[in-house]
Amino acid sequence: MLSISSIICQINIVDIDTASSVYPRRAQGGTVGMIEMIGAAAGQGISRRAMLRAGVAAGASLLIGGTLARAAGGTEAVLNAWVRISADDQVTLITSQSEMGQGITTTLPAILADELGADWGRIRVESAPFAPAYRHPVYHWMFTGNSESISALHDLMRAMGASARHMLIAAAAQRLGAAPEALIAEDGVVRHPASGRAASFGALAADAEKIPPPAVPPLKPETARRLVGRALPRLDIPAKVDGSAVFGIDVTLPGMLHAAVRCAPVFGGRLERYDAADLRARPGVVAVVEVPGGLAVVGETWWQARQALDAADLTFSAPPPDAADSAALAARYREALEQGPFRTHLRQGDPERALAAGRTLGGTYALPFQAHAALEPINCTAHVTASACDIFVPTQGVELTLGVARQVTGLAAEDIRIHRTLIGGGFGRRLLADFVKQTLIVARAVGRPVKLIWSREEDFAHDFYRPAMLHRITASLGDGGEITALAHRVVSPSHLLYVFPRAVFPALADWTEPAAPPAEYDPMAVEGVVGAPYAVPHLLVEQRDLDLIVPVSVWRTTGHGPNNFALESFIDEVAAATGQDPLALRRKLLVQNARALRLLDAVAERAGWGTPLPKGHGRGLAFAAAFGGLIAQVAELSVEGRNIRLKRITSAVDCGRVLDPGIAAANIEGGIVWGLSALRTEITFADGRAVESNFDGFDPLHLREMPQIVTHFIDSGEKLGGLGEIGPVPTGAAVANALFAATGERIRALPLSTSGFTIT
Amino acid sequence: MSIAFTINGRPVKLDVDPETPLLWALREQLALTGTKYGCGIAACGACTVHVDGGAVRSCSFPVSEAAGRAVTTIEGLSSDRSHPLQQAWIAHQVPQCGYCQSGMIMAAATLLAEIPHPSDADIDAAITNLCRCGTYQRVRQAIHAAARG
Repeated sequence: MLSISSIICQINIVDIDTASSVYPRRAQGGTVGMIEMIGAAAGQGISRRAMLRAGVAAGASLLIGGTLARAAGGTEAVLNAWVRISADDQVTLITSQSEMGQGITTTLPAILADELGADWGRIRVESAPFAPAYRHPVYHWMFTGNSESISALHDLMRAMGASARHMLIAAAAQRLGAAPEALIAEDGVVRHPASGRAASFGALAADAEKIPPPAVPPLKPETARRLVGRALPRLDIPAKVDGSAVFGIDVTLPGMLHAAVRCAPVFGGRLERYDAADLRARPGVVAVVEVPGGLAVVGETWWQARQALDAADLTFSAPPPDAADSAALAARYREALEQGPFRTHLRQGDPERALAAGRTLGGTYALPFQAHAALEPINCTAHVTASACDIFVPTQGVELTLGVARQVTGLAAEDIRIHRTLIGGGFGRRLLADFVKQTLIVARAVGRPVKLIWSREEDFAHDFYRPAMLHRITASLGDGGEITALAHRVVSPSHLLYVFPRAVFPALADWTEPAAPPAEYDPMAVEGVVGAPYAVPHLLVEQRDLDLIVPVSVWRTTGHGPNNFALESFIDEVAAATGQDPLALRRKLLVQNARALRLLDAVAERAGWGTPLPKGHGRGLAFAAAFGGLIAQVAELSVEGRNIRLKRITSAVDCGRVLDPGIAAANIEGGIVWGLSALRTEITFADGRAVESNFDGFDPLHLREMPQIVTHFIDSGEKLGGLGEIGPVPTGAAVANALFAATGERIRALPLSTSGFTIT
Repeated sequence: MSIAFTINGRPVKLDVDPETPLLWALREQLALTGTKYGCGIAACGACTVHVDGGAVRSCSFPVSEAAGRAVTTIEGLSSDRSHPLQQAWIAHQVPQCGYCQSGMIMAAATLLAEIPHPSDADIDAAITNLCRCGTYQRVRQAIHAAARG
């Protein structure tokens, strides 16, 4: 058996209050970003101090539960929900967030360790179980997503580290007979410089645990922070170069069986007939278990289970009359765009009058459905008994997983243990728990540990896709080429049907079912359009919602990516129609935004904006305000015939402050590749099912097609923004605008193959 | 039917269906889980291993074809992460989620064995593995760094 204990937290779940009614309440005022809305609603009246106490109190309640890892040897002191210290100086830092390659399990512990004064070389990081202390401080929901881990947790991590340091110093003051002010904690030791005496964290931990946590933890001055701001080697990387890293698919438990699964390929379909006896007679098959919409075959090995399933004669229900079909879906989107009815997200000034008055320009932009296609296939391992349940899963959605497990098993939360593994790509797909439900049904039926793995084909057939979106933008233009009014219509389903915190739907008996958030909390379809920093006097932003048979959900860049493609392509069109330089036009629109201007100028300089290019080459610019930060990006490419060669993507990014330059750059680099891939991938539908079934038909960018990526960060010192998703937000428009510069052809629909272009 | 080959320098004998892909024999019979399942159709490269030194996509390579040959997986590339590529991968902080990286490194190891100082074009041609996190730029840098030694 492989050792998974090193990455899995053994702490039991102590407390749960998923039914808490704290979330969300109706926000006052107009439509703003989801974060602000919900922050204003749920975070109302929650001061930072109260939040800190909540963190500490939750730690204390974990302690009362008596199940913290103290049991392992009885020598660990629990200073709060995030910091444990053993007598032999092992400092364990807890991370609430899931590692999917974004580096969060390095940066968050580094923030903690910095304030604590721990020896970074000796810390150990442990993944948190579900507990209220580990919820997002504003949403009161435990998950990893929406590029929010840093912005949501930075201050809390700092305070928790400082709180634990305060307790260690207080204990040392008693021990050494010195005033706390005369002591310093660093490198895992509390020192009294005046006398040269010192005590290690481990020696102090048991006493420190008894010290009441401070109401207001004393933060170190910025200049004393040693880890924050440095490019730290990521803690998860060494195990990822020698095959020892344990992803969900690598979990092995004693006596474990393996399940392959196939559900009706047609959305909403059912399994009508199959020959169970025939299946059971096949080599290695142990059991056959029906799951919603399909069948799981359980075998001694996964390969045997899959072979049996592939050979089985499964009859699924026929496609319904409204079966998914790309042409019909496109027609429905177009009709919706023409007919509405539209919901108004933003109205400013008198857009109708302004649009009726002057010269107008319009454009319609279409974005396709997309698959997440994380490279680690969907999987989950579970052991369900009458009294307990263990779930080993690569998940972004801890609290949703727990709720689904409660619903499926009927067990109480404290009897369900969620062991998170490394995630082989999340991108939003692993916020969901549909596959956890399947696994639990199978594991309960067979009474032994079961690892369920989807084939790649199953993943493409049953993704929760990024919805297609259709935009129409109309602007009125002044005599000087200025945009006097802008009307932006979006046709899109909600992106939040499957991931909006389930605690707000008390009547929802199955948390894997879709549930539409209250409209005023669902601005994702227009995010980045509402909230665009451009100074335009008259604005109208409207959405036509759609209810599709195709399951759709959040996908890296959420609404920002597709919306930015439309808006920034359109701004480029205005520049072209009015004879303005795209950079000059954006500088005019952002003239009152010093942060944005600084980025535009930085990217222009580094990309050589305005310098001559050979014929057939082009540069394109796009700008975005997304995920709490700002980005300006220039794509440079060349075109020969219909073949595009990507040359360089240059970005200037302001996320407030870069906490780790190496990890930050990696997030932007990887994000840009995501954005470039989205220029040529799409999911289409025929006969009620997804057409693309593997990486032969869905072809993300390869190394050979890579441009050079150059990223420049500017710290403005403003509020922290997220970096996991902002990189790809402007990429689509930057490339499309570069293509226009090179060829004079305007791209208004993706993928690029719609216009006959290929990235080579 | 029993299939004998060497795995990471160690002789093994497996009693499995000879059509079983080498990938699943490695993962399920030999508990070598560093080699990953990504697509099952030899498109993504996450399952890349060496058979007699050459890179093969083990998801589409029947275990029977390994008979009598030497198979090396990421676990056997070095015993202590000391292979120049592993060192370069750490120095350049290449992996993100890391799921494709075993296959990436194994493909790169074959490239360096064949072309000790590859050009960018050599790397373009040899590294066809998919990385959904987008680590390609650092993959290229790390291969060049490992080649420089």
